[in-house]
Amino acid sequence: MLGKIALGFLVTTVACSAYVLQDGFVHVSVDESAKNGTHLHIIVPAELATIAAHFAPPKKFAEHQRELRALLPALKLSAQELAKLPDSVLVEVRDAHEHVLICKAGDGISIEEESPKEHVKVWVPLHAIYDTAEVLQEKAGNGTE
Amino acid sequence: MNLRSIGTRVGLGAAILAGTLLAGATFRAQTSTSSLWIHVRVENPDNKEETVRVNLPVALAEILVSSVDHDQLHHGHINISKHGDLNGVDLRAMVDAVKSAPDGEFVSVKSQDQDVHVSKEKGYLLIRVNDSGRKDGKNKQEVDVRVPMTVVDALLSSSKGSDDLDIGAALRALASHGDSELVNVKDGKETVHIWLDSKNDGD
Repeated sequence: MLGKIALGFLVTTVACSAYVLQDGFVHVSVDESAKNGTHLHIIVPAELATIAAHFAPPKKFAEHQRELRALLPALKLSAQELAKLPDSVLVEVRDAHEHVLICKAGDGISIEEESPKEHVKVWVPLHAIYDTAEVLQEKAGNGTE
Repeated sequence: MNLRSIGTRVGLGAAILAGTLLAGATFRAQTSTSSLWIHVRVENPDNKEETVRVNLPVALAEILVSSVDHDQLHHGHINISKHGDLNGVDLRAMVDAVKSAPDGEFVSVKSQDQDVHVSKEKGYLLIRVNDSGRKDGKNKQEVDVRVPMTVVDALLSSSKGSDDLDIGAALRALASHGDSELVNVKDGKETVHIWLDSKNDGD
């Protein structure tokens, strides 16, 4: 009996993990240069972004509905097109104090900002961007207020 | 020897050759348009640490421009009537006139501190501006713009009127043009270079 429960638990865990893993992870790291600065390294399942989009606050959503309706199709198409590209530097801005880098890296987009104060790096899978934009577009299209 | 069979064989051979050439040309056209990148570099010659680099596939730029319906950009179209008074100038008619005219200089304006030249050469519209700036040479500026006429034509191809610019069509025309130098700007502080090639890093 215990064996069956353990097996059921194991199958459920594997199924849940597979569901989460199929969408990959969002990587966020923030390193402040100050002596007691924050060092934050988070790896979040990308699926959470899509789930969170379902629960976007209707009031805030209504405020920006027009802009979202206009920009989300472009975001979805961009994610699809970017997925076809080789790894590349898309935008790089560098001055004496700051360096910002936006790259296509693997199956995702990497955004990096380096300054004397901090080093921030975010990597987001492209299909998570597409899925999240799709959920938001459905909400915008339905006129969720 | 059967003449009919020789004719059939020659015909078949020609058809295979034509098919191969057509497929090759189509493939080449597809690769040349789908893999072209637009590059923008802004650099400060006095300070190598200050740079802006943008590398974007033309196909992606076209998709972005064509899909956005926000502010003044409506699915690849921009109406310029709000930006400046065209004083009744029909841009479409003007471009048609330039297109049909032989190569040469159309506009040349020389003033004390500025030279402006607009000409057509080998299918390109060339705009050159030399601004001598102040007497000490500061604020000196040189602008070179080189746009294929097909792109100018596509830009003004909109059925919505002469004051509507079809940016999407211009990008499509640009993509079919292959490697091109588009804009070079040099002034006392920085250089701006915009060009098109098949490399994704532009270096």
